[in-house]
Amino acid sequence: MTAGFLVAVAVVFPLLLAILSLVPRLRAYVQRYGSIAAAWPALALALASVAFDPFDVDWLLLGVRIAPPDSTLRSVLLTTALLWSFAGWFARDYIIDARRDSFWCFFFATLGGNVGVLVAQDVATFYLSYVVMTFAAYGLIVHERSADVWRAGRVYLGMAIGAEVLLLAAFWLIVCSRIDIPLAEAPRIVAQRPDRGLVIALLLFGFGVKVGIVPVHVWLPLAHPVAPTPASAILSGTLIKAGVVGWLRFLPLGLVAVPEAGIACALLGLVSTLYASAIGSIQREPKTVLAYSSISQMGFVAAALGAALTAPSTAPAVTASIVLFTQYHMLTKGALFLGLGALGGAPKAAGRRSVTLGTLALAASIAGAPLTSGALAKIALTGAIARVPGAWTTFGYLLSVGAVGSTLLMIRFSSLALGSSSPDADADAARPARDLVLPWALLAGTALVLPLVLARPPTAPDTLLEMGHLTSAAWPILAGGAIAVVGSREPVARRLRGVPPGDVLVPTTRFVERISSVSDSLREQLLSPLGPRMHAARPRVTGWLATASRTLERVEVGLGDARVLGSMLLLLIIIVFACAGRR
Amino acid sequence: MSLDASLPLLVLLSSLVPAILIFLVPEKNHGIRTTLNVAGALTKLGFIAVMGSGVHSGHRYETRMTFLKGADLVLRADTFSLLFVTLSAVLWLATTIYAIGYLEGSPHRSRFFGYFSLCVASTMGIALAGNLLTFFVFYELLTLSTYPLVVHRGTPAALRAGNVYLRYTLAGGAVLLAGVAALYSLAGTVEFVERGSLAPLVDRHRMALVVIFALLVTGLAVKTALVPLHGWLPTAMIAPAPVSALLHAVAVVKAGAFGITRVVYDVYGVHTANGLGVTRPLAGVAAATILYGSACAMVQTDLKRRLAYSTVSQVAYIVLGVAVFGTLLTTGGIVHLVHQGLMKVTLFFCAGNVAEELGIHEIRDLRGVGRRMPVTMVSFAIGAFGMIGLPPIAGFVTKWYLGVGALEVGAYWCIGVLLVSSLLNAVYFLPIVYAAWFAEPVRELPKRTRRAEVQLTLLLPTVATAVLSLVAGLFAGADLSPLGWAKLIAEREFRP
Repeated sequence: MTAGFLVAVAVVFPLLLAILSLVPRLRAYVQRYGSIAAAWPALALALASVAFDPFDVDWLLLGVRIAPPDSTLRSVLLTTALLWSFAGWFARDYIIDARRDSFWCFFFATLGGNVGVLVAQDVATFYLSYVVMTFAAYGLIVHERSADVWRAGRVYLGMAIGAEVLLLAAFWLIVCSRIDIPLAEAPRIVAQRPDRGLVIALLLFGFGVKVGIVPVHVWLPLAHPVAPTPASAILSGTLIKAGVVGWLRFLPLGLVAVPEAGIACALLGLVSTLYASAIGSIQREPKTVLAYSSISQMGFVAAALGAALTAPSTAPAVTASIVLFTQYHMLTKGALFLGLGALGGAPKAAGRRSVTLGTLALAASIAGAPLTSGALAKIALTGAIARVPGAWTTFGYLLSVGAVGSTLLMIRFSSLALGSSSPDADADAARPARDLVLPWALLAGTALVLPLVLARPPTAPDTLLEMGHLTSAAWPILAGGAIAVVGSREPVARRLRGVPPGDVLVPTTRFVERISSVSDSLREQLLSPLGPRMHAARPRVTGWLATASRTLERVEVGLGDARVLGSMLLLLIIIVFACAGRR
Repeated sequence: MSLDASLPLLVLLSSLVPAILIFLVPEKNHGIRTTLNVAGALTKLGFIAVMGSGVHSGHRYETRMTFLKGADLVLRADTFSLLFVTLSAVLWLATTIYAIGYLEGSPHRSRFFGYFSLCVASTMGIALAGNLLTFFVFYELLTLSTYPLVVHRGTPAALRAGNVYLRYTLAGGAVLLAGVAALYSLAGTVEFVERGSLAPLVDRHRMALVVIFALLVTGLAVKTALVPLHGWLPTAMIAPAPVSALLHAVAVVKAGAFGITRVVYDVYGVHTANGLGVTRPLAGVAAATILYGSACAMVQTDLKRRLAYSTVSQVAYIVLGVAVFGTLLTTGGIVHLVHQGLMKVTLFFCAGNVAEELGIHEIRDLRGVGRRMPVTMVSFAIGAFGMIGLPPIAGFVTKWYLGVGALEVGAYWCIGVLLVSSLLNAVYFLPIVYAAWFAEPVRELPKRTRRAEVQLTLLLPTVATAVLSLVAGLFAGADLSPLGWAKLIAEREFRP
């Protein structure tokens, strides 16, 4: 019971701060200390090995279930809480504009929802947390309030609501007539449903929007560059992982083989990885490149998930590797984003140098360079996939092409971020540099070391030293480097430019516009000979409409007339009695 | 007359007596009028609390008076009537306080509050009616007592709207009367009893029962604003904000929905109605109304008109839940009677606040209002999110029950309707929230003239109903929540 209290506090505390951050007398304190401490109850929950019997709070919502989080969730919760604490610390000195009250309110609310997604133990509470997180994050994305921002916000919200509808349908299919069920039962129920293909598809795409699977990824590259840096770190670090957590918690991994869904998922993952690498490595904005890198990295996760859906026996290994990958990517991507902000805020050479070095190390980790936590996470993931027999071995090779893409993206990112003198456009000297560098440095250190500490056999850190793994991690780096050298030569580079962030969204919108303009001009051309006649016909048509509406009106007026009403009533009564009498 | 036999009558009288007294109070005597209003509302809540605890433990309260030979007027408190009575009484209190503030200093307040109380008295009568005839009497009384409220402003537009309103409702009333008369001639007195009383007649009078059902429901559909009989509702928007709030949340629209529920469950009985096959067309109409209302709401630019079409759509949720056979759907439909009331009243209060304080009626003028009137716009956001069906607000509970209930009985088309409707709801509610909170104002908003953003008599009811909408969703699992009560009702109706 007392331990259950800790679970509740982990969620409620940030939500409470969200409300308190609006109280004029308190907000200065709440923002100053809450920024760092808001995620501490969640951190405590992740570290303390709480054990208690699950119990239900019947009067709350549709009956909230409280149970200790299992080891998978605690692992994700640990890095989530760490990232939120460091990002909050960073944001405390980074967000210094007039709208910071609104930033902090949305920050705390998003955190509350995020923790809720991890600790919720029944479907309705999970949905509540997911919704709170999604809508509160909108406030973080649109913090800057400019034209680009509104577009990104609209795309984000539109896609989020679409995803919400898919998920709602999936949740209804899962809980069915039981109204609400413990979440632990969800995978089994999905596995047993006759229409599980539909449910799995709804879940894959519903959560896939958050995760950023191609082709439902378009909000990511739009939202990341416009959000303030700490918010981008949270988006890429934890928000998209909430989708992964959704997959892990709902999909029937290890219970049933659904090869169609598995192969579709794996292919989507592969496409995401390759496509995002290609598009991302010709972007001009470092944050956009990082966004595409997140899409590409999440492609690996989707591919592994596909393996587990295809071959249930691999599920435990795949789940463990996805968790490790999630932890590594969460911290590393978060640190890369914060590094961008710290670079802008560190005018002194010493500060800049350390941030530059750190950023290079983090980028190497994302690229999967030998001996990094990123390499370990990738080894774990591909190792799990390789356990699936058949064509999946080839698939593993294809994924290492994805690793080349990661390298390309990171080279592109590093040259953009470190090459220019002021990479962070909205940075200014007014920010105290030291206070930005310190939280960044701590997060970067955690990102480079913690995944190695957390890794468990069969992918303990010493596997990194095996010769085979060293080479398999090294060649994509070399290949990526070579491509980057070729690609950066002027004639090639010139030809490569020109895919705007949001890629498919842009041509899609343009296509729709084109079609509507074509159909407009077609109509004009086709109808212009008919023009005069149309002109003559129009009054006739409108005349008919007017007559019709007048008639209707007269009918309505007539209905009000007592005589009409009376006679109609009589008629009705006669009919009724005739019917009644006939029987 | 013992207390048990007189309690339902007392509930009715607690607004009827103030109504008559208010008519007698001179125009400028605000103090007495306000005291009468508030005292009436509080007394009523007291009576209802006593009745509620009794009904929950299975007690019966019934007032019976002879009206015509063989046709008694009966007021009875059962679980379902108590749900509606409580909703009406709570919202009446809130709306009265709101109206006192809203109409401060305007003419004809005696007339307004007199009819206002009369309107609530009629609603009480509808809620407590123990048989079809009693229901009909109060249903018509409601029409007559709301007309003066709709035309209160006395402008040509208001009078026109009143005309439309009267034409629709009187015609509906006539059809309803035909149905009631036919049913009485067929079955004698038709009492409202759980699981209905017409089952024995099905074999001999199948066709007649079908026709009578059509008559009753068509008559009731006018007030429920089911498509295509909804035309009066957007027109009646001309009424002052508290009247719109009352019309949409408790009185008129709800009376219709309540009546349909009574007809399906307590006159025909859910098993009988389902066996006759009459509920299926009703469900179809409800589904069409849900989508049509939402589609119309999207194209409105006037805030109150958009809210009106949203009512058309949302009240049809109730009818959908009632018409499709299934315990969970019924629970969802019945509980929405309360949830929609709480959320819609909040939204109308907010619209009234914005109109009163800033003179804003158009949605595009709402840009940046969030900073000027934060409490009002937070309340609005709560109501709007609830209408979309986002947790943890009351509307979420409804939507969840309807969705899950539809799956329980394999009505997959309902899921489609619900999901499309919540998308449409998002499309027409989120831009308002967005404009208020994130957009920059187009013009300078008038400065505050007092400490609060709008006078407290307007602000407090708004906050109270917003909090209730939130509480009804957040604590839906509690025994005495609207959901808990709706579950109790549905259980009793479906007992074989």
